Amino acid sequence: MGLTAQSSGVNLLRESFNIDGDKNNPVVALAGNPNTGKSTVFNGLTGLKQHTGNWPGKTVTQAKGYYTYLSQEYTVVDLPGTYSLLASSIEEQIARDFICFAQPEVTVVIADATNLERNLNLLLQVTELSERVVLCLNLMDEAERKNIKIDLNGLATDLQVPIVPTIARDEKGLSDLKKVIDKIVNQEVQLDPIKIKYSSKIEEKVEKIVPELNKQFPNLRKNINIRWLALRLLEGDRTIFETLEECYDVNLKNKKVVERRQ
Amino acid sequence: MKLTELPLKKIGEVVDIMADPNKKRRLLDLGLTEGTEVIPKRRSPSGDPTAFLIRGTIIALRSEETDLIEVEKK
Amino acid sequence: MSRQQQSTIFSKIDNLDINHEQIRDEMVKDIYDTAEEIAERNIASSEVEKESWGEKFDTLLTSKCLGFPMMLLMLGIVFWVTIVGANYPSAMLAKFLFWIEGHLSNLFVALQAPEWLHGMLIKGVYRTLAWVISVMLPPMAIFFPIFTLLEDLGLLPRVAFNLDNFFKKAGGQW
Repeated sequence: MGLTAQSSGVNLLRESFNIDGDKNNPVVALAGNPNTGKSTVFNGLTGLKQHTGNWPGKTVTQAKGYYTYLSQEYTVVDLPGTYSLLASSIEEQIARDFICFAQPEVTVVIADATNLERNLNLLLQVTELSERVVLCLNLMDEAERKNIKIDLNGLATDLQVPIVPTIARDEKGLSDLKKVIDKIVNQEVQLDPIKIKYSSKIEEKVEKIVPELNKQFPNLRKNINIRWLALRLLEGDRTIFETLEECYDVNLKNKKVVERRQ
Repeated sequence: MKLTELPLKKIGEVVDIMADPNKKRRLLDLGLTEGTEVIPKRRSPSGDPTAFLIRGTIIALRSEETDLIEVEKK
Repeated sequence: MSRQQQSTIFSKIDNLDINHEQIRDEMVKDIYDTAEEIAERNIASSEVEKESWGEKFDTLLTSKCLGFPMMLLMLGIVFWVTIVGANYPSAMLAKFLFWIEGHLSNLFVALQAPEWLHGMLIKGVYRTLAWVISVMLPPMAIFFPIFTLLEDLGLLPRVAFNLDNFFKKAGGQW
Protein backbone atom coordinates (compact mmCIF):
# COMPACT_ATOMS: atom_id res chain seq x y z
CA MET A 1 0.00 0.00 0.00
CA GLY A 2 1.51 3.26 -1.06
CA LEU A 3 0.91 6.68 0.34
CA THR A 4 -1.87 7.47 -2.10
CA ALA A 5 -4.72 7.12 0.35
CA GLN A 6 -5.73 3.68 -0.70
CA SER A 7 -6.93 2.66 2.73
CA SER A 8 -10.60 3.44 2.85
CA GLY A 9 -10.29 4.34 6.53
CA VAL A 10 -8.31 7.46 5.78
CA ASN A 11 -10.63 8.35 2.93
CA LEU A 12 -13.67 8.15 5.16
CA LEU A 13 -11.95 10.23 7.78
CA ARG A 14 -11.18 12.78 5.11
CA GLU A 15 -14.83 12.82 4.09
CA SER A 16 -15.64 13.88 7.62
CA PHE A 17 -13.38 16.90 7.04
CA ASN A 18 -15.22 17.69 3.79
CA ILE A 19 -12.34 16.46 1.67
CA ASP A 20 -13.49 14.31 -1.22
CA GLY A 21 -12.07 10.93 -0.40
CA ASP A 22 -13.64 9.42 -3.49
CA LYS A 23 -11.21 11.32 -5.69
CA ASN A 24 -8.32 9.40 -4.23
CA ASN A 25 -6.02 12.36 -4.77
CA PRO A 26 -2.98 12.77 -2.58
CA VAL A 27 -3.84 15.52 -0.09
CA VAL A 28 -1.50 18.44 0.49
CA ALA A 29 -2.23 20.53 3.58
CA LEU A 30 -0.94 24.10 3.84
CA ALA A 31 -0.16 25.21 7.37
CA GLY A 32 1.38 28.49 8.43
CA ASN A 33 1.27 31.56 10.61
CA PRO A 34 -1.07 34.38 9.62
CA ASN A 35 0.44 36.87 7.14
CA THR A 36 3.01 34.57 5.62
CA GLY A 37 1.48 34.64 2.17
CA LYS A 38 -0.16 31.27 2.70
CA SER A 39 -3.15 32.13 0.57
CA THR A 40 -0.85 33.48 -2.14
CA VAL A 41 0.88 30.11 -2.23
CA PHE A 42 -2.52 28.42 -2.25
CA ASN A 43 -3.68 30.56 -5.16
CA GLY A 44 -0.39 30.06 -6.95
CA LEU A 45 -0.65 26.30 -6.65
CA THR A 46 -4.29 25.85 -7.53
CA GLY A 47 -5.08 28.78 -9.80
CA LEU A 48 -8.81 28.99 -10.33
CA LYS A 49 -9.58 25.43 -9.32
CA GLN A 50 -10.80 26.24 -5.82
CA HIS A 51 -13.76 25.66 -3.58
CA THR A 52 -14.52 27.53 -0.43
CA GLY A 53 -16.87 26.33 2.23
CA ASN A 54 -16.81 25.78 5.94
CA TRP A 55 -15.05 23.25 8.07
CA PRO A 56 -17.72 20.76 9.10
CA GLY A 57 -19.63 22.10 12.06
CA LYS A 58 -17.43 25.18 12.39
CA THR A 59 -17.74 28.79 11.32
CA VAL A 60 -14.20 28.77 9.98
CA THR A 61 -13.71 29.06 6.23
CA GLN A 62 -12.27 26.05 4.49
CA ALA A 63 -10.54 26.50 1.17
CA LYS A 64 -9.54 23.58 -0.96
CA GLY A 65 -8.20 23.46 -4.47
CA TYR A 66 -6.70 21.19 -7.05
CA TYR A 67 -3.66 21.10 -9.27
CA THR A 68 -2.14 18.56 -11.58
CA TYR A 69 1.54 17.74 -11.67
CA LEU A 70 2.98 15.04 -13.92
CA SER A 71 -0.59 13.91 -14.70
CA GLN A 72 -1.39 13.32 -11.04
CA GLU A 73 -4.13 15.45 -9.52
CA TYR A 74 -3.54 16.75 -6.00
CA THR A 75 -6.03 18.14 -3.50
CA VAL A 76 -4.71 21.17 -1.63
CA VAL A 77 -6.30 22.12 1.68
CA ASP A 78 -5.62 25.57 3.13
CA LEU A 79 -5.59 25.18 6.91
CA PRO A 80 -6.48 28.18 9.08
CA GLY A 81 -3.50 30.43 9.78
CA THR A 82 -2.23 29.79 13.31
CA TYR A 83 0.82 30.48 15.44
CA SER A 84 0.71 27.07 17.06
CA LEU A 85 -1.13 23.76 17.10
CA LEU A 86 -1.76 23.62 20.82
CA ALA A 87 -5.51 23.70 20.21
CA SER A 88 -6.26 26.74 22.32
CA SER A 89 -8.51 28.19 19.59
CA ILE A 90 -10.91 26.67 17.09
CA GLU A 91 -8.54 27.45 14.24
CA GLU A 92 -5.67 25.68 15.96
CA GLN A 93 -7.88 22.75 16.74
CA ILE A 94 -8.96 22.42 13.12
CA ALA A 95 -5.39 22.57 11.86
CA ARG A 96 -4.25 20.06 14.46
CA ASP A 97 -7.09 17.61 13.92
CA PHE A 98 -6.69 17.73 10.18
CA ILE A 99 -2.99 16.94 10.24
CA CYS A 100 -3.48 14.35 12.95
CA PHE A 101 -6.54 12.50 11.69
CA ALA A 102 -6.94 13.20 7.99
CA GLN A 103 -3.25 12.44 7.59
CA PRO A 104 -2.41 14.50 4.53
CA GLU A 105 0.21 12.92 2.26
CA VAL A 106 2.26 16.10 2.61
CA THR A 107 1.99 19.03 4.99
CA VAL A 108 3.61 22.18 3.69
CA VAL A 109 4.50 24.66 6.40
CA ILE A 110 4.61 28.09 4.87
CA ALA A 111 6.96 30.38 6.72
CA ASP A 112 7.78 34.06 6.50
CA ALA A 113 11.49 34.17 5.69
CA THR A 114 11.79 37.54 7.42
CA ASN A 115 10.63 36.11 10.72
CA LEU A 116 11.75 32.54 10.79
CA GLU A 117 11.92 31.98 14.52
CA ARG A 118 8.21 32.35 15.11
CA ASN A 119 7.43 30.25 12.08
CA LEU A 120 9.77 27.43 13.11
CA ASN A 121 7.72 27.12 16.26
CA LEU A 122 4.80 25.93 14.17
CA LEU A 123 6.98 23.67 12.04
CA LEU A 124 8.31 21.95 15.14
CA GLN A 125 4.77 21.23 16.24
CA VAL A 126 3.78 19.89 12.84
CA THR A 127 6.72 17.49 12.76
CA GLU A 128 5.45 16.04 16.02
CA LEU A 129 2.31 14.99 14.15
CA SER A 130 3.59 14.03 10.74
CA GLU A 131 6.82 12.95 9.11
CA ARG A 132 5.88 14.16 5.64
CA VAL A 133 6.60 17.85 6.09
CA VAL A 134 8.03 20.44 3.72
CA LEU A 135 9.16 23.90 4.77
CA CYS A 136 8.24 26.55 2.22
CA LEU A 137 10.21 29.73 2.89
CA ASN A 138 8.06 32.41 1.41
CA LEU A 139 8.70 36.15 1.05
CA MET A 140 12.35 35.50 0.16
CA ASP A 141 12.47 38.82 -1.70
CA GLU A 142 11.51 40.72 1.43
CA ALA A 143 14.11 38.86 3.45
CA GLU A 144 16.70 39.91 0.91
CA ARG A 145 15.56 43.49 1.07
CA LYS A 146 15.86 43.43 4.84
CA ASN A 147 19.35 41.97 4.58
CA ILE A 148 18.39 38.73 6.26
CA LYS A 149 20.62 35.88 5.15
CA ILE A 150 19.38 32.37 5.72
CA ASP A 151 21.71 29.40 5.56
CA LEU A 152 19.36 27.04 3.71
CA ASN A 153 21.70 24.05 3.88
CA GLY A 154 22.31 24.51 7.57
CA LEU A 155 18.61 24.89 8.19
CA ALA A 156 17.82 21.76 6.19
CA THR A 157 20.41 19.83 8.20
CA ASP A 158 19.02 21.06 11.49
CA LEU A 159 15.39 20.42 10.62
CA GLN A 160 15.80 17.37 8.40
CA VAL A 161 12.97 18.51 6.14
CA PRO A 162 13.09 19.62 2.50
CA ILE A 163 13.18 23.41 2.21
CA VAL A 164 11.78 25.28 -0.77
CA PRO A 165 12.42 29.03 -1.00
CA THR A 166 9.60 30.83 -2.80
CA ILE A 167 8.35 34.25 -3.79
CA ALA A 168 4.73 33.24 -4.21
CA ARG A 169 3.69 36.72 -5.31
CA ASP A 170 5.82 36.30 -8.43
CA GLU A 171 5.05 32.57 -8.67
CA LYS A 172 8.73 31.86 -8.07
CA GLY A 173 9.63 28.52 -6.55
CA LEU A 174 6.16 27.02 -6.81
CA SER A 175 7.19 24.45 -9.41
CA ASP A 176 10.02 23.40 -7.11
CA LEU A 177 7.45 23.00 -4.37
CA LYS A 178 5.30 20.79 -6.60
CA LYS A 179 8.33 18.72 -7.47
CA VAL A 180 9.23 18.16 -3.81
CA ILE A 181 5.64 17.25 -2.98
CA ASP A 182 5.60 14.77 -5.86
CA LYS A 183 8.80 13.15 -4.59
CA ILE A 184 7.40 12.75 -1.11
CA VAL A 185 4.10 11.33 -2.34
CA ASN A 186 5.94 8.81 -4.51
CA GLN A 187 8.20 7.93 -1.61
CA GLU A 188 11.34 8.89 -3.48
CA VAL A 189 12.60 10.61 -0.36
CA GLN A 190 12.48 9.27 3.14
CA LEU A 191 11.85 11.89 5.76
CA ASP A 192 12.77 11.84 9.39
CA PRO A 193 12.28 15.41 10.54
CA ILE A 194 13.53 16.91 13.78
CA LYS A 195 11.56 16.15 16.92
CA ILE A 196 11.62 18.58 19.78
CA LYS A 197 13.52 17.25 22.73
CA TYR A 198 11.79 18.39 25.88
CA SER A 199 13.43 18.75 29.23
CA SER A 200 14.50 15.44 30.73
CA LYS A 201 11.74 15.76 33.29
CA ILE A 202 9.11 15.62 30.54
CA GLU A 203 10.93 13.06 28.41
CA GLU A 204 11.15 10.67 31.34
CA LYS A 205 7.41 10.80 31.78
CA VAL A 206 6.78 10.33 28.08
CA GLU A 207 8.87 7.19 28.21
CA LYS A 208 6.69 5.86 30.99
CA ILE A 209 3.40 6.52 29.22
CA VAL A 210 4.26 5.42 25.68
CA PRO A 211 4.67 1.70 26.51
CA GLU A 212 1.44 1.78 28.47
CA LEU A 213 -0.43 3.29 25.53
CA ASN A 214 1.05 0.71 23.19
CA LYS A 215 -0.02 -2.02 25.54
CA GLN A 216 -3.58 -0.81 25.95
CA PHE A 217 -4.19 0.25 22.36
CA PRO A 218 -1.92 -1.88 20.17
CA ASN A 219 -3.63 -0.76 16.96
CA LEU A 220 -3.50 2.94 17.60
CA ARG A 221 0.09 3.23 16.41
CA LYS A 222 -1.06 2.78 12.84
CA ASN A 223 -3.29 5.80 13.04
CA ILE A 224 -1.59 8.38 15.18
CA ASN A 225 1.74 9.26 16.66
CA ILE A 226 1.88 7.71 20.12
CA ARG A 227 4.55 10.08 21.42
CA TRP A 228 2.33 12.98 20.50
CA LEU A 229 -0.63 11.39 22.26
CA ALA A 230 1.49 10.83 25.38
CA LEU A 231 2.53 14.49 25.36
CA ARG A 232 -1.09 15.62 25.14
CA LEU A 233 -2.04 13.37 28.03
CA LEU A 234 0.86 14.72 30.03
CA GLU A 235 -0.32 18.26 29.65
CA GLY A 236 -3.65 17.20 31.05
CA ASP A 237 -5.76 16.89 27.90
CA ARG A 238 -8.45 14.47 29.06
CA THR A 239 -10.65 15.02 26.04
CA ILE A 240 -8.13 13.62 23.61
CA PHE A 241 -9.63 10.13 23.77
CA GLU A 242 -13.04 11.57 23.06
CA THR A 243 -11.64 13.38 20.04
CA LEU A 244 -10.07 10.14 18.89
CA GLU A 245 -13.29 8.23 19.44
CA GLU A 246 -15.29 10.88 17.65
CA CYS A 247 -13.03 10.67 14.65
CA TYR A 248 -12.99 6.90 14.52
CA ASP A 249 -16.64 6.71 15.39
CA VAL A 250 -17.51 8.88 12.42
CA ASN A 251 -15.32 6.55 10.46
CA LEU A 252 -17.28 3.50 11.59
CA LYS A 253 -20.65 5.10 10.97
CA ASN A 254 -19.61 6.11 7.47
CA LYS A 255 -18.44 2.61 6.82
CA LYS A 256 -21.86 1.26 7.70
CA VAL A 257 -23.56 3.71 5.40
CA VAL A 258 -21.26 2.69 2.58
CA GLU A 259 -21.88 -0.97 3.26
CA ARG A 260 -25.62 -0.47 3.18
CA ARG A 261 -25.39 1.36 -0.10
CA GLN A 262 -23.47 -1.46 -1.73
CA MET B 1 6.39 45.73 36.79
CA LYS B 2 3.33 45.01 34.70
CA LEU B 3 3.75 45.01 30.95
CA THR B 4 1.09 47.70 30.88
CA GLU B 5 3.43 50.03 32.71
CA LEU B 6 6.43 49.50 30.43
CA PRO B 7 7.02 52.75 28.52
CA LEU B 8 6.97 52.77 24.72
CA LYS B 9 10.20 51.73 22.95
CA LYS B 10 11.68 50.28 26.15
CA ILE B 11 12.71 46.63 26.26
CA GLY B 12 11.11 44.35 28.80
CA GLU B 13 11.73 40.71 29.61
CA VAL B 14 8.84 38.43 30.53
CA VAL B 15 9.15 37.16 34.10
CA ASP B 16 5.78 35.52 34.66
CA ILE B 17 2.21 35.40 33.46
CA MET B 18 -0.39 35.48 36.19
CA ALA B 19 -3.50 34.39 34.36
CA ASP B 20 -5.89 31.50 34.52
CA PRO B 21 -4.64 28.44 32.61
CA ASN B 22 -6.51 29.09 29.37
CA LYS B 23 -5.51 32.72 29.09
CA LYS B 24 -1.98 31.91 30.09
CA ARG B 25 -1.78 29.32 27.39
CA ARG B 26 -3.00 31.72 24.75
CA LEU B 27 -0.38 34.24 25.75
CA LEU B 28 2.34 31.60 25.81
CA ASP B 29 1.30 30.51 22.33
CA LEU B 30 1.99 34.02 21.11
CA GLY B 31 5.58 33.44 22.20
CA LEU B 32 5.46 35.20 25.56
CA THR B 33 7.49 32.55 27.35
CA GLU B 34 9.70 33.36 30.29
CA GLY B 35 12.70 35.45 29.25
CA THR B 36 11.17 36.68 25.99
CA GLU B 37 11.95 40.26 25.01
CA VAL B 38 8.93 42.51 24.50
CA ILE B 39 8.98 46.05 23.15
CA PRO B 40 5.87 48.26 23.23
CA LYS B 41 5.89 49.88 19.81
CA ARG B 42 2.83 52.11 19.66
CA ARG B 43 -0.34 52.78 21.51
CA SER B 44 -3.83 53.24 20.12
CA PRO B 45 -4.92 56.90 20.13
CA SER B 46 -7.79 55.86 22.38
CA GLY B 47 -5.18 54.58 24.81
CA ASP B 48 -5.95 50.93 24.96
CA PRO B 49 -4.61 48.29 22.81
CA THR B 50 -0.85 48.58 22.58
CA ALA B 51 1.17 47.03 19.78
CA PHE B 52 4.15 45.01 20.98
CA LEU B 53 7.09 43.59 19.11
CA ILE B 54 7.20 39.95 20.22
CA ARG B 55 9.67 37.61 18.56
CA GLY B 56 9.74 39.57 15.35
CA THR B 57 6.02 40.13 14.98
CA ILE B 58 3.86 43.06 15.99
CA ILE B 59 1.00 41.88 18.17
CA ALA B 60 -1.62 44.14 19.74
CA LEU B 61 -2.63 43.31 23.30
CA ARG B 62 -5.29 44.92 25.46
CA SER B 63 -4.50 46.22 28.91
CA GLU B 64 -6.59 43.48 30.48
CA GLU B 65 -4.04 41.06 29.04
CA THR B 66 -0.89 43.07 29.66
CA ASP B 67 -1.95 43.60 33.29
CA LEU B 68 -1.39 39.89 33.78
CA ILE B 69 2.14 39.88 32.38
CA GLU B 70 4.98 40.63 34.74
CA VAL B 71 8.09 42.02 33.06
CA GLU B 72 11.48 43.29 34.03
CA LYS B 73 12.71 46.45 32.37
CA LYS B 74 16.06 46.03 30.67
CA MET C 1 -10.95 2.16 23.25
CA SER C 2 -13.03 1.15 26.23
CA ARG C 3 -13.64 3.23 29.32
CA GLN C 4 -11.62 0.75 31.27
CA GLN C 5 -8.58 1.07 29.06
CA GLN C 6 -8.85 4.81 29.25
CA SER C 7 -9.04 4.85 32.99
CA THR C 8 -6.03 2.54 33.18
CA ILE C 9 -4.09 5.15 31.24
CA PHE C 10 -5.44 7.99 33.31
CA SER C 11 -4.57 6.32 36.59
CA LYS C 12 -1.10 5.63 35.26
CA ILE C 13 -0.73 9.32 34.53
CA ASP C 14 -2.13 10.29 37.90
CA ASN C 15 0.43 8.01 39.52
CA LEU C 16 3.21 10.01 37.91
CA ASP C 17 2.02 12.84 40.12
CA ILE C 18 2.50 15.73 37.74
CA ASN C 19 1.39 19.30 37.57
CA HIS C 20 -0.21 19.45 34.12
CA GLU C 21 -0.11 23.19 33.94
CA GLN C 22 3.55 23.35 34.71
CA ILE C 23 4.29 20.66 32.12
CA ARG C 24 2.29 22.55 29.55
CA ASP C 25 4.16 25.79 30.18
CA GLU C 26 7.48 24.00 30.01
CA MET C 27 6.54 22.37 26.72
CA VAL C 28 5.69 25.68 25.10
CA LYS C 29 8.92 27.12 26.39
CA ASP C 30 10.93 24.16 25.08
CA ILE C 31 9.34 24.49 21.66
CA TYR C 32 10.06 28.21 21.47
CA ASP C 33 13.60 27.74 22.78
CA THR C 34 14.32 25.09 20.14
CA ALA C 35 12.95 27.36 17.41
CA GLU C 36 15.02 30.26 18.70
CA GLU C 37 18.16 28.16 18.79
CA ILE C 38 17.74 26.85 15.24
CA ALA C 39 16.88 30.29 13.94
CA GLU C 40 19.91 31.86 15.56
CA ARG C 41 22.22 29.23 14.16
CA ASN C 42 21.10 29.67 10.56
CA ILE C 43 20.17 33.29 10.16
CA ALA C 44 22.51 36.19 9.76
CA SER C 45 20.77 39.52 9.65
CA SER C 46 22.71 42.72 9.50
CA GLU C 47 19.92 44.44 11.30
CA VAL C 48 20.17 48.16 11.07
CA GLU C 49 17.44 49.34 13.39
CA LYS C 50 15.92 52.12 11.42
CA GLU C 51 12.29 52.91 11.02
CA SER C 52 11.12 51.67 7.69
CA TRP C 53 8.81 53.65 5.50
CA GLY C 54 5.93 51.45 6.54
CA GLU C 55 6.64 51.93 10.23
CA LYS C 56 6.66 55.69 9.87
CA PHE C 57 3.30 55.45 8.21
CA ASP C 58 2.02 53.25 11.01
CA THR C 59 3.14 55.77 13.60
CA LEU C 60 1.30 58.47 11.71
CA LEU C 61 -1.88 56.41 11.34
CA THR C 62 -2.02 55.53 15.00
CA SER C 63 -0.75 58.80 16.43
CA LYS C 64 -2.78 60.56 19.06
CA CYS C 65 -3.53 63.73 17.15
CA LEU C 66 -3.45 62.48 13.55
CA GLY C 67 -4.83 58.95 13.95
CA PHE C 68 -8.53 59.72 13.94
CA PRO C 69 -8.45 62.60 11.44
CA MET C 70 -6.47 60.44 9.00
CA MET C 71 -8.95 57.63 9.43
CA LEU C 72 -11.92 59.89 8.86
CA LEU C 73 -10.20 61.48 5.88
CA MET C 74 -9.54 58.07 4.39
CA LEU C 75 -13.10 56.96 4.88
CA GLY C 76 -14.29 60.32 3.53
CA ILE C 77 -12.22 59.91 0.38
CA VAL C 78 -13.56 56.41 -0.15
CA PHE C 79 -17.15 57.63 0.16
CA TRP C 80 -16.51 60.68 -1.98
CA VAL C 81 -14.95 58.60 -4.75
CA THR C 82 -17.83 56.13 -4.47
CA ILE C 83 -20.63 58.67 -4.55
CA VAL C 84 -19.20 61.20 -6.98
CA GLY C 85 -17.43 58.63 -9.10
CA ALA C 86 -20.53 56.49 -9.42
CA ASN C 87 -22.52 59.36 -10.94
CA TYR C 88 -20.87 59.08 -14.34
CA PRO C 89 -21.26 55.36 -14.93
CA SER C 90 -24.75 55.59 -13.39
CA ALA C 91 -25.76 58.24 -15.90
CA MET C 92 -24.29 56.27 -18.77
CA LEU C 93 -25.97 53.05 -17.65
CA ALA C 94 -29.31 54.81 -17.23
CA LYS C 95 -29.01 56.37 -20.65
CA PHE C 96 -28.13 53.04 -22.22
CA LEU C 97 -30.83 51.04 -20.41
CA PHE C 98 -33.55 53.58 -21.18
CA TRP C 99 -32.44 53.71 -24.78
CA ILE C 100 -33.12 49.98 -24.81
CA GLU C 101 -36.46 50.60 -23.11
CA GLY C 102 -37.47 52.91 -25.95
CA HIS C 103 -36.64 50.25 -28.48
CA LEU C 104 -38.46 47.59 -26.50
CA SER C 105 -41.53 49.82 -26.37
CA ASN C 106 -41.33 50.28 -30.13
CA LEU C 107 -41.12 46.54 -30.50
CA PHE C 108 -44.24 46.07 -28.38
CA VAL C 109 -46.07 48.64 -30.46
CA ALA C 110 -44.92 46.98 -33.67
CA LEU C 111 -46.17 43.63 -32.41
CA GLN C 112 -49.46 45.28 -31.40
CA ALA C 113 -49.10 43.95 -27.89
CA PRO C 114 -51.89 44.96 -25.48
CA GLU C 115 -51.23 48.04 -23.35
CA TRP C 116 -51.49 46.18 -20.04
CA LEU C 117 -48.72 43.77 -21.09
CA HIS C 118 -46.51 46.66 -22.11
CA GLY C 119 -47.28 48.39 -18.82
CA MET C 120 -46.45 45.36 -16.77
CA LEU C 121 -43.31 44.16 -18.52
CA ILE C 122 -41.70 47.39 -19.72
CA LYS C 123 -42.98 50.13 -17.48
CA GLY C 124 -43.05 47.80 -14.49
CA VAL C 125 -40.47 45.04 -14.52
CA TYR C 126 -37.94 46.42 -16.95
CA ARG C 127 -37.94 50.02 -15.75
CA THR C 128 -37.54 49.00 -12.09
CA LEU C 129 -34.71 46.68 -12.99
CA ALA C 130 -33.02 49.34 -15.09
CA TRP C 131 -33.20 51.89 -12.27
CA VAL C 132 -31.90 49.50 -9.67
CA ILE C 133 -29.00 48.43 -11.87
CA SER C 134 -28.01 51.92 -12.92
CA VAL C 135 -28.24 53.31 -9.39
CA MET C 136 -26.84 50.42 -7.38
CA LEU C 137 -24.29 48.72 -9.57
CA PRO C 138 -21.72 51.52 -10.05
CA PRO C 139 -21.35 52.41 -6.35
CA MET C 140 -20.93 48.75 -5.50
CA ALA C 141 -18.44 48.22 -8.30
CA ILE C 142 -16.42 51.12 -6.93
CA PHE C 143 -16.81 50.77 -3.18
CA PHE C 144 -16.04 47.09 -2.73
CA PRO C 145 -12.82 46.98 -4.78
CA ILE C 146 -11.54 50.04 -2.90
CA PHE C 147 -12.42 48.44 0.41
CA THR C 148 -10.67 45.22 -0.59
CA LEU C 149 -7.64 47.27 -1.51
CA LEU C 150 -7.69 48.98 1.89
CA GLU C 151 -7.85 45.62 3.57
CA ASP C 152 -4.99 44.23 1.52
CA LEU C 153 -2.92 47.30 2.31
CA GLY C 154 -3.48 46.55 5.97
CA LEU C 155 -5.32 49.78 6.68
CA LEU C 156 -8.35 48.12 8.19
CA PRO C 157 -6.38 46.38 10.96
CA ARG C 158 -4.97 49.82 11.85
CA VAL C 159 -8.48 51.19 12.02
CA ALA C 160 -9.46 48.29 14.26
CA PHE C 161 -6.43 49.05 16.43
CA ASN C 162 -7.53 52.66 16.79
CA LEU C 163 -11.16 51.86 17.46
CA ASP C 164 -10.80 48.73 19.61
CA ASN C 165 -11.34 50.60 22.86
CA PHE C 166 -14.62 52.11 21.67
CA PHE C 167 -15.93 48.82 20.41
CA LYS C 168 -15.00 47.20 23.67
CA LYS C 169 -16.87 49.89 25.59
CA ALA C 170 -19.86 49.60 23.30
CA GLY C 171 -19.82 45.83 23.75
CA GLY C 172 -19.44 46.17 27.51
CA GLN C 173 -22.79 47.91 27.82
CA TRP C 174 -24.68 44.84 26.78
